[in-house]
Amino acid sequence: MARGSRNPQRQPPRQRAARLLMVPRVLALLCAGAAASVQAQAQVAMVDLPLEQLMQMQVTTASRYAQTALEAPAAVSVVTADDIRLFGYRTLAEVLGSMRGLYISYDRAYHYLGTRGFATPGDYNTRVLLLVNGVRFNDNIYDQASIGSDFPLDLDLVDRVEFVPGPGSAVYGANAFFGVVNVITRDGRQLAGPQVSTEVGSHGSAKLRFSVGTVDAQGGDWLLSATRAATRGADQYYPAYDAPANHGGVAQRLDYDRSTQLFARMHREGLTLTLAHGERTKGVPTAAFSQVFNDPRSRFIDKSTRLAAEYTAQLQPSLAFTGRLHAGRYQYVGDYVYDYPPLTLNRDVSNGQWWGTEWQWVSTALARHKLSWGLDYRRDTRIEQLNIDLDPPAQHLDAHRKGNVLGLYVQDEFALSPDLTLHAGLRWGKQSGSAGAIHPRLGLVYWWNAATALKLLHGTAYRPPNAYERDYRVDLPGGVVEGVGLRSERVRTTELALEHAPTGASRVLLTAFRSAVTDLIAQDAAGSTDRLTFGNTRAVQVHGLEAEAEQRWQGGQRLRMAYGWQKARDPSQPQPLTNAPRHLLKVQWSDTLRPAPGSGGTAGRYAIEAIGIGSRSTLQGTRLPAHVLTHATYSTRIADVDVSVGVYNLFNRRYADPASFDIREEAIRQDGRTYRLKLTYAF
Amino acid sequence: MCNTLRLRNLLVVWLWMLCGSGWSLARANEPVAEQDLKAAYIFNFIQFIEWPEGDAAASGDLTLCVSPFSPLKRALATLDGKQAPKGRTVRVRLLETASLRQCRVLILHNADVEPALRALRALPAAHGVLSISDELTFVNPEIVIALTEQQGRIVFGINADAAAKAGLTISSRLLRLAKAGR
Repeated sequence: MARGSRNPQRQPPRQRAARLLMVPRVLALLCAGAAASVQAQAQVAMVDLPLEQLMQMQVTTASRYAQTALEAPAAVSVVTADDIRLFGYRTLAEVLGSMRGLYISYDRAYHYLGTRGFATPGDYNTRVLLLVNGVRFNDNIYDQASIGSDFPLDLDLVDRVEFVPGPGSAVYGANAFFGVVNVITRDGRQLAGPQVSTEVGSHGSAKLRFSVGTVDAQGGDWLLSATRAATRGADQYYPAYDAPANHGGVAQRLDYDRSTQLFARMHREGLTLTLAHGERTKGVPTAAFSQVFNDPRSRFIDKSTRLAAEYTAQLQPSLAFTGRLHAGRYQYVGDYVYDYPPLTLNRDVSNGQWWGTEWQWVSTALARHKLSWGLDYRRDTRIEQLNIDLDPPAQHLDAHRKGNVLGLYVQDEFALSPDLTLHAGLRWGKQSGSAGAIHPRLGLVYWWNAATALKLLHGTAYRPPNAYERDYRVDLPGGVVEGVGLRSERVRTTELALEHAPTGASRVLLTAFRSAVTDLIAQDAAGSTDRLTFGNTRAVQVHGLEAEAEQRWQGGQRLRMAYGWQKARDPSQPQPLTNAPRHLLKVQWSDTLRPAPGSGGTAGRYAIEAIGIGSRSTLQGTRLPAHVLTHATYSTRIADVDVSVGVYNLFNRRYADPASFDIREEAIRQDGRTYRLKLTYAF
Repeated sequence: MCNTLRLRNLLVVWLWMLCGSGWSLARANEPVAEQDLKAAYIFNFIQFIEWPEGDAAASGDLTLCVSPFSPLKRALATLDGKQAPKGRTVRVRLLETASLRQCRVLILHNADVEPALRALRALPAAHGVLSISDELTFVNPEIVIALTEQQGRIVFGINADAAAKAGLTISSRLLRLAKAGR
C-alpha cells in the first residue's frame, strides 16, 4: 500500500496532469490505510503497558462524541460550543457554513443552506429538518428552517450543533430531505450564575445578552436568557436599479436587522421544559418581489415561539421511553411597496400554529438487537396566508387550512458480529392533502479495526408541498400564480463512508455519495416575467466525494480540513444548475498563544478559518467566480472578562451569492471585511 | 476555471499535509481514547485473576463476551488472539445470555446487567465467570469489577465477595490498585 503512494510520481508528466483529480482521492485512501496500521500498533503497545502506568493516563473528553459519531450510521458533523467561541460564529448559518459539504447563500433577508453542492433558488431551507433538542423547528407554512438572525436561539446558549447529511425520512419523516440539523442547548449548570454579554461590530451592529443559569435545591436545572440585537446595515448598491430616479441604485438604510430572543429551559430528573421565542425585523434593500426600489417601508418580520416538554424514563432495565409534547407558533409579516399606480403598501401575513406529540421506545430486550419504534403526530391548528393592500384597501389572498401529520416508524440496530452492525429502518407517514408514503433506510457499519469504520448507507426521503407552495396564489407583480397540481418530491441516496478515529484527538473521513431527486418542486418564471409558478418540474442528480481530516495536538493546536467535490445536474437541461458549486473547501487552524514567562500577560487563543466555494451559476446563467473567505478570531480573558475579537472576510474579498427569482438582481453582493468585539462577564 | 484549478491545487497540498499528520499520530504522546484505555485495563485484569482449577472452560481459549451495544466493543475486538497467562488465547465475542457458560469474562453495559446476572445466578457456585461493568448507573453488588471514568482517569472498584462467590482469586496487587470501598 505504501509503495502505491509513490507510483503517481513515476508516471510520465502528461499522464500525471490528466490524473490530477484522481491523485487526492487515491492519496487520501492510502493515508487512511497507513494511519490505521500505525494506530493498530499503538493500541497493542498500550494494552501491553502495566496497569500502574495505564492508571497515569489521561483520557480525552472528545473521544466520547467521536466514538458515538463513529458508531452512527451516517457521516455526522459536529460543531461544539467551544468551536462557536473559538471561531467567533455569529449565526447558525455561519456554524453550518463551516461544516463539510454545506454552504450558505444570503439575499439580505434570509440565509439559505446549500447541501452537497445543491441549493434550489427560492427554497427557504424546506429540504433540511431543523431540530432543537430533538424537537422540530421548521414552521408549518414555509417549512422553513430559519438559520440567520431569524433563528430564535442565541448561539451562546448552544452546546453543540450536529448535522447528519442524507435523507432522514425513515426516522424523521418529511423535510429530512437532504439532511437533519440538530441544535442542542446548554444546561443552566454550565453557565453557573448570571452572565452578561455584549458585542459591537461593523455596520452599526450591537448585541446584548443577559442569562442566568442555576441548579435549585431539588436538583432542577434552570436556564433563562434574553438577547437584543440590532444592526444598522450599510447602504447597498444594486446595478440593476442604477438610474437617477432610484438614487443611483443605492438602497439607503434598508439593510437593518433588529432581533429579540428569549429562552427558558428547566430540567429535572426525566422532565425537560423548553420555551424559545424570537422576533426579527429585517429591512429589504433588494426590492424583492418586484417592489419599488429604495422605499423605507419595505421589510420582513418573522416571529417564532416554540414550547416543548420532554419526558424520558427507563421503564425497565432494557426498555427506555421518551415522550414529547410540543407546540409552536410562527408569524410572518412582509411589507411590500408597489407602484400599481398609485404607490401602495401591500402586506403579506402568514400565521401558523400547531401542536404535536412524539412517543418513542427503545428496547434492548432481544439479544444483539436494539429496537426502537415510535409515533409522531402533529396537528396544524392554523395555517393562514393573507395578502392585502393597506391603502387603498384590497384583498388579494385569504387562504386557510388545517391539517394532520402522522408518522409511525420502527428501527433496528442489529449487531451481526463484533465488527458488523446492520441498521434498518422503516417509516410510514401521511400528511393531509398528500398520499401516504413508506420510506426505508439501510445502513451497514463494518469495523475494520477499533478505530476505523466503513459505512454503507442507503435511504430515501420525501417532502410534500408546503402550505406556501400549495396555497399562495396572488396575481400581482412578483406573485405566484396557479401551476399544475403539486405532488411530493422524492430523493434516493446511496453513500459509502470510511471513518477513522484512532484517538479522541484525530479523525479522518472519506465519503462518496450519489443522490437522485425526482419531481423536485421548483419555482419558475411563469410566461410573463413578473409572475412565478410552482411545479414538480425538475429532476436532479448529484454525485460527489468528500474528505475531512481533523487533528488536535497536546499543545492546544488544532487543524481541520474538509473538501467536497460534487456534481449536480438536471439531465433535461443543457445549462448548469443555479447555485451549485463543484468545489467546497473548509480549512480551520487554531492555537493557544502563551505570553512570555514573567511578562504578566494572559494566554489567548487565535483561530483562522478559510471557506472556499467554487464558481456558481446564477439564474440567468452568468458564472460567479469562486472565492475563498478568511476569518480570524482572537479570544482571551482580561480581568475576568472573556474578550473575543473577530475579523470576518479578512482580505476584503468581493463576492456575490446567486439570487432567487423574486430578486431582479441576478447576484447579491455580500459584505466585505467586517469586525466584531465581544465581551462576556460571568458574575 | 483558474479559480477551480487553484482550489484543486490547494486540495492536493492539504491532502499531503493530512498524510503527514496521519503519520505523526502514533508518535505524538497525546491523551488516549477512553474506550482504548478501558480495554487495556481489562486485558491487564486478566493477568491478575486466577480462574478455578478443573473448570472445563478454563483450558484453551479465554473468552471475553461483550455486550453488543457496549462502547468498548471495538476496542476489545483488538484483544482477540492475544496471549493470556497459562498459554491461553483471548477470544472476543458478542454476549448472548443463553450461552453465557462459555464466557470467562463478561463486559456488561446498563441494558444487559439484569438478564446477565439472572443467567449467572442460575449457574452453580464458583462458576468462574468474571463480570465487569462499564459506566453503570446503579452499582450492583453482584458484579466483580466496576469500571468508570472519573475526571479524565479510569478508576475501578473490586467486590471481593462477588469474586469469592464466582470462585475467582484476585491478586493482592490488583486489589491494592482498586479504588477502596468501591
